Amino acid sequence: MISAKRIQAVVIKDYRDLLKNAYMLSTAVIPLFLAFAINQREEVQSPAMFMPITISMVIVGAFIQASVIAEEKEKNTLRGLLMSPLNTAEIFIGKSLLSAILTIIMIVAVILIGNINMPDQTLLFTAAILISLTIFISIGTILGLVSRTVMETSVIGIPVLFVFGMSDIFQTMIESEWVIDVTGYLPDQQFVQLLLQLQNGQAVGEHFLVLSTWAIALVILTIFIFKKRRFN
Amino acid sequence: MSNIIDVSNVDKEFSGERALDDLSFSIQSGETFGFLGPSGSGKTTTLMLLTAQEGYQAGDIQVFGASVEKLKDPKQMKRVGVLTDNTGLYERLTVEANLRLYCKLYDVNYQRIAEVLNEVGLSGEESKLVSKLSKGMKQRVKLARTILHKPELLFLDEPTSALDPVSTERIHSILRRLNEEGTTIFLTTHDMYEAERICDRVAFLNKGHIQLQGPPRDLRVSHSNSSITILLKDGREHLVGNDSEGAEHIKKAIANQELASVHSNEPTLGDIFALVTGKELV
Repeated sequence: MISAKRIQAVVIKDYRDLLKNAYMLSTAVIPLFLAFAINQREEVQSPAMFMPITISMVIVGAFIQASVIAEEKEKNTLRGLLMSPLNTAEIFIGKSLLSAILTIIMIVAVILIGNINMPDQTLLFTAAILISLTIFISIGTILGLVSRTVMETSVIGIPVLFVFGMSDIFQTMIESEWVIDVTGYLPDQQFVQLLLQLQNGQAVGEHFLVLSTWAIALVILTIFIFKKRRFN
Repeated sequence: MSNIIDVSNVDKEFSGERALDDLSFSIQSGETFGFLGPSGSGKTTTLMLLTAQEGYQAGDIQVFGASVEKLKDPKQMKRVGVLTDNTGLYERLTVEANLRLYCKLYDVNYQRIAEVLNEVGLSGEESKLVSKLSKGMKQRVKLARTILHKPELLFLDEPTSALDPVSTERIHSILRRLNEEGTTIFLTTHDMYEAERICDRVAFLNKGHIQLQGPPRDLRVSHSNSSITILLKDGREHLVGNDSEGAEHIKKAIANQELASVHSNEPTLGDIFALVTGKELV
């Protein structure tokens, strides 16, 4: 059974720890600068307009999550949690909730600062954000679990996060049709396409299906890696 | 007294390499049991099996009369406390914030923090950042965290490893008191002095197999070479047998007012370990 009290304890501890972690705090605010830059430009094309949102999910949702998990491993504090009454689900939820809340705050902030036009369908937009958040937090958790140190998350993480979070930047450099087709299924591109189609009032079912498939696959992979590497 | 831990014929392999070989022992309720062995002998692996962190290939492990797997149940987990040398503290947080987290996890009232810090001799250190504490103090905070929920069974992996003598003595005195209060303690160590001081029984582990076990005193007596050293006032030493001839020597030294002291030559646990395994306890 999942205990809300134990999850809350982990979140409060993470929050207190984050307030004293200058590295993580300074990393978390990077998307705000991007939103500010977008706001300063007179004309921003639609896909690029959503970039601060995807960058928020990459940097806060994935990168900070990876650092939080890697630090627990590096400092051997994860072992203490594993040998407490916390079960696997409580550890996952507890260790992801702060990154998720922080990402949502950052997304709201970049929308306001960047003056980004959001689709009118708030419910579908929120659902897209939550599914994408699950994807990026799972990627961050996996990166944290496979890294031995916080520093290593940068080495392993940056290439992975470029592929999963900023693939549209590189797509313009790619000439091969099939590579373009394949990268079109990456989470960041699906997310941006979903938002664009929402804005244009077009059907978004296919994008939701692809994003949900990513989310489910990555959650399963995260649990598998956690069981394998938790005591490493 | 009932057994709190029963280990029967356990084998454990890592990537085809045998770490534990036909391991069998039991620990009674209220006992302090020491697992002695050099680095790589399988002490930490045993502790990981006993706390359900690792599975095993053969044999059976019972803790509290049920399969060790039951320890994964949060209710059962609350009955044990685990302190390994590779569990850490949150360095950016205060001592109190570290303990508050575990109060919540174990459903313990925050008032217990003051009690437990008093027990480990850290009263008044609540608001200190963990990063500012000495190694010995950090180890006592870890111990405080481990006993916060008053566990019936304590697992300690090298609890005084690399600590200074004063910190080591403090930890020993806390462990003795906990044991007097009824806590069962399973302790791994390569420090034979620690084992002699606080353990009711010890087991010698070598290459994943128990080679000898029993109370430290019994092991020393059974491996004694029966000789006695007589130290005379002028500094001379005589080695005599534990027999009538030896008794005559002692009697004579007393009569001549030459005797300074008499010592029985019992081996240390380290000596016995080296004798039984052919290895040093390092």
